[in-house]
Amino acid sequence: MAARAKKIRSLERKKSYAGYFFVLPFIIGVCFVFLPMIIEMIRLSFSTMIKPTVAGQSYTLDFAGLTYYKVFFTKDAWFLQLTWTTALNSLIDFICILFFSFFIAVLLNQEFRGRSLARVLFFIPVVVMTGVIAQVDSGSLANSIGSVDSIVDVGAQTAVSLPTVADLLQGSNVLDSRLVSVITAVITRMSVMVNGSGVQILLFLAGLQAISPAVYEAASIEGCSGWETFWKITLPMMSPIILLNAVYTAIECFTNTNNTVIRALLNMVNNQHKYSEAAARAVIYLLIVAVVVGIIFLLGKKLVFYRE
Amino acid sequence: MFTRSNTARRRLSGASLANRTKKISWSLVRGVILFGLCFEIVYPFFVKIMQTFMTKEDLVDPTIKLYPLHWTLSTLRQTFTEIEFVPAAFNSLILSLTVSVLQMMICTLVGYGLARFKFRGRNLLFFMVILTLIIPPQLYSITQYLYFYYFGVGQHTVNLIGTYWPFLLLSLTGMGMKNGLYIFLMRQFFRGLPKELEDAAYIDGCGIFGTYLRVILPNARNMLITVFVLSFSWQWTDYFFSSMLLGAQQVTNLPLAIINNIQLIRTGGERVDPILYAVERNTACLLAIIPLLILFAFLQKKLINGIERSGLVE
Repeated sequence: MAARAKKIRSLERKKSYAGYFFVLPFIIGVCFVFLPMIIEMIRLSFSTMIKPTVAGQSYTLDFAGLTYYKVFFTKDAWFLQLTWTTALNSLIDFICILFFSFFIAVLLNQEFRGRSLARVLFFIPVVVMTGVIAQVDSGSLANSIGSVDSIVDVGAQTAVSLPTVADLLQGSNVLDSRLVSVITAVITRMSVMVNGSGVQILLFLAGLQAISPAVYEAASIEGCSGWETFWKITLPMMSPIILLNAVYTAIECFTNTNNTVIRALLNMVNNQHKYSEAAARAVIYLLIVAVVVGIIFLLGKKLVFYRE
Repeated sequence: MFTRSNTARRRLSGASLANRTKKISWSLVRGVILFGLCFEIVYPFFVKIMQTFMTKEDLVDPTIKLYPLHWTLSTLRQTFTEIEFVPAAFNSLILSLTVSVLQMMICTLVGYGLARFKFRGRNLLFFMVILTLIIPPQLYSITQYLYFYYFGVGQHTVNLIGTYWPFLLLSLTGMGMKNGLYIFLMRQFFRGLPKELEDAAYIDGCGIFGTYLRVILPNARNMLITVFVLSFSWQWTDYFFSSMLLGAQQVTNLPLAIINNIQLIRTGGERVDPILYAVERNTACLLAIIPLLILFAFLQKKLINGIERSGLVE
């Protein structure tokens, strides 16, 4: 008995060592690349940076305690306000994108003519919304980043403008003007949704394809309707990927470089060189994001189904 | 033996008719939805493509929107030479391919480790994965630049800026662009795989790494492709890391060429019309995107249904 228990334990230990081997690259990354930078950022938020007097020398830090955090809560009403409104907006975007991308992924997973083309077209936002292309698209914005007030919504700018439809609805007294404004708001957000959910669609698609057709076959033999299959098979099997996408979308909505708070922070760093203020604000804002992500994980713990 | 009565047959055909109408109406609805959304995506893209072929007169003419009246290839040609497309794309290809293959391998490894093995500090490590996603790299770019500028310990430092080394080091340690997402994706996927898959292999005498290579990786095929596609595309279009870590002087890749080579004042001192300048930048972006779309069109066909073929009978 004891020998057997020992054997099992040694296998467990062997497996745990193997686990360390698998994650070793990331441990090295965390210890030697990630943590030094994060610690530097946090240190910066608690101190004042003294710029080098001699060229080529690195900066030195003077401990300032909670000064920059106090500034955030007491003096800068605008930043607090900005954080709050941005967070609310991001939350709406988050919910829209999550549902929308799941719906589109289910559609793109079905068999129909022109599916490959549709998939390629839905892939366009993945490459267009980041990197150099986003930069060129907002080229004229690059100069106006200086002031927060002049930030134009990039999503609305690249959207297909539909003045004719809106005018038509407004002009004819068929619909209530409030309803019209709701419709136009939906259309405007639609472009944010379409352009913001490329990655999510791709991830959902990969997840959907990982579900074995055998399971669906079994369900249809048992007499499950499409609706039941969706709720009893697709949704639980997809729940790990849904959690992934929920977390990723939340993070993306809150921290992409078009986000007003992030822009204000980058502006403080790159143009105004207020490193410590920016660091303190970044720490506070990212803590808020971390709380949101934490809530999603807590919900996920109850709802996500893992087959292990 | 098994003859159907007339009523049964009629009922069957009725059901199939209802089914067919349901199917057709659904595919109509689906078609309308997808077409409308694709229009939203394609329209700005289409406008850019058409502008590429417009002459200056067409561009300033407000009545010309959809397609040019005077077709020209001069913008395309000008842009092509200005960004030195072939060498720049070659550099981009080398970098993107190396980085994406490395990231795919490392992130799968780490994701599997986090999903399937119990060891001390696992939750902390997973928390770190999420943290790398939460903190935008733009916020600590200066620290990162200095890190690679004075790379090393104490007095023994080397300047890695302007080489591919920072990219390789970041990819090898799972710290590259959005690597947290890939690790997270792999972890979620592996946690969703049935454990019997590995148990069967262990019983057959396959070691942990043998199982990983022969059973796990083939099953993760769709996810590997997805990670590769994302990683490759984002590296291909990345300007932020390229401009920070490569600089313009030593190595030029496509994103750097687009931003740096197309200028309002050309090297000869000739001033470019602002409208043509904007169109040239858009054209350069199109030239960069099109290879990616071809790559994706090719790879999405490899995303196939049902990969749990090996080693498991349910």
